[in-house]
Amino acid sequence: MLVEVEIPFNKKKVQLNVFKFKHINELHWLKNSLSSKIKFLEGFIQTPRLNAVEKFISLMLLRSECIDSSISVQRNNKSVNVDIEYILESFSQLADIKTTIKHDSFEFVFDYPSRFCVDSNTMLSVLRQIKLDDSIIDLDLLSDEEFNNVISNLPPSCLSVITSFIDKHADHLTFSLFGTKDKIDLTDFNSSLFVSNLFDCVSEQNYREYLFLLSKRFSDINFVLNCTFYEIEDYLDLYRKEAQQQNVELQKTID
Amino acid sequence: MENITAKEFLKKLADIETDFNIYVPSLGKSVETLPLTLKQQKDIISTATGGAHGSLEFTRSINDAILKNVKEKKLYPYDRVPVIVQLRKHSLGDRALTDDYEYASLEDIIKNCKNEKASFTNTGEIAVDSLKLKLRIPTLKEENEIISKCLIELDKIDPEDVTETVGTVFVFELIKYIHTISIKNDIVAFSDLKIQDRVDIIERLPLSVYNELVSFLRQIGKYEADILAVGDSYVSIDAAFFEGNIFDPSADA
Repeated sequence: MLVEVEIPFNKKKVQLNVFKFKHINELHWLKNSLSSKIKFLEGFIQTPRLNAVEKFISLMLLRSECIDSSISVQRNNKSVNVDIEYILESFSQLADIKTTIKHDSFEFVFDYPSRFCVDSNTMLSVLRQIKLDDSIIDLDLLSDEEFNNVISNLPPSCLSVITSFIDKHADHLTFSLFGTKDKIDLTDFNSSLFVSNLFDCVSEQNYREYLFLLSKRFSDINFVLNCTFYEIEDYLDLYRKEAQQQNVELQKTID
Repeated sequence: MENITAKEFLKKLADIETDFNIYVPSLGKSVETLPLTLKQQKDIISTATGGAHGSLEFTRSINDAILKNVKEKKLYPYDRVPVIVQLRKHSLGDRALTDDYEYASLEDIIKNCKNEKASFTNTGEIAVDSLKLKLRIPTLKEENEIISKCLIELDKIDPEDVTETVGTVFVFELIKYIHTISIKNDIVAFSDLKIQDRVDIIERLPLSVYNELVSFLRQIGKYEADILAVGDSYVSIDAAFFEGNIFDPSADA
């Protein structure tokens, strides 16, 4: 089952697998490993060759489709719900920052990062292509291990070339989320933490409690596991209403 | 233009980044080395966080890079600065900033390394009454083993108990040079003791022993200070030294 979403700034259609109730538990099992959680969430994106901005928006929209169309944020010590559509207004336009820079025997092509920032290597994924002599390597097509190997073995003088590009385009790599105060910097691991937290919508204890409650009404537990969180909340609401109704009727019988 | 795989690209990189020679003071001659990689540069920069922990990690990551790249493996802590300066010069160029924000040529420091005689007593003994300390300069490999042990034990200690002061960093430096400690006929290999016990012993040493120990260590400190001096200025080996994007200090003037 696929969900199709549209990236606001380039109208690109992105296909994603549905994020189901059981996936919340799978995320819990990944504990505190940010890179594993991000890898798991990236696995929902079926459309290849997206950059980190497109992946970020796609996952926000997936959350909107499967969990909730708003997210809860802290404002002046109060929890406030912000609509995802409102957040995505910051992404309505994207400047063209694609740049080619020659450095020693290399020719580097830089653009928006290809990977979510989870460590000091993925932070450098603004480097998208390297030309060396008459050969080109497309870093977007490499596995994580290959990408790390290529980045790690570049000569040290390349680091300042990459970080200079990041510094120069810092304004374009940072997006305002809820007005001007809160910003998402795609070259900072906090942006990945934000994405991971988007899907961490139920605590482990509540997950089990929901499953336990709904198993009383559904004989096939797999049906519940394969529902979206949206559906689960609807069923729970129906369950609560039914329980309240039964309480009222029971009270009437006693009276 | 031909699209190549990661494996093919790495092979091309290896062809560009060929071996070169560096002067090693303990050997008094030049030996082959591989250049630094961006990973080693990042590892070194990211560990330079200050405090006892950061200082140990920083030294360890520099030693790791040297031990991996330099073909000769029996190197000593007093080789560290000369070797890393030469690796840095090869990878990021000759220009470095001094503590006075002036440019310095690393070639001048390399000349200092070749001119300054690195003649150290590798072993020593301090004896006062029944207390005897056997000292030795560890190899870089041994130094890294000691540092790794220190780091593991530091992680177990409540940060409140180990105040990360310059004093602590200095005590950790001293620890590396004590081989055994004996009182009367009881001999203890210093590296077998817990880090906190080692620190406690150092802090309780009689002043005369402590002073002799410090002089043994200072022979290397003085050597490093002499070779890193450029005129009236001094080049510090810190994170900025490995960053490479040396700005022009006079640009905004």
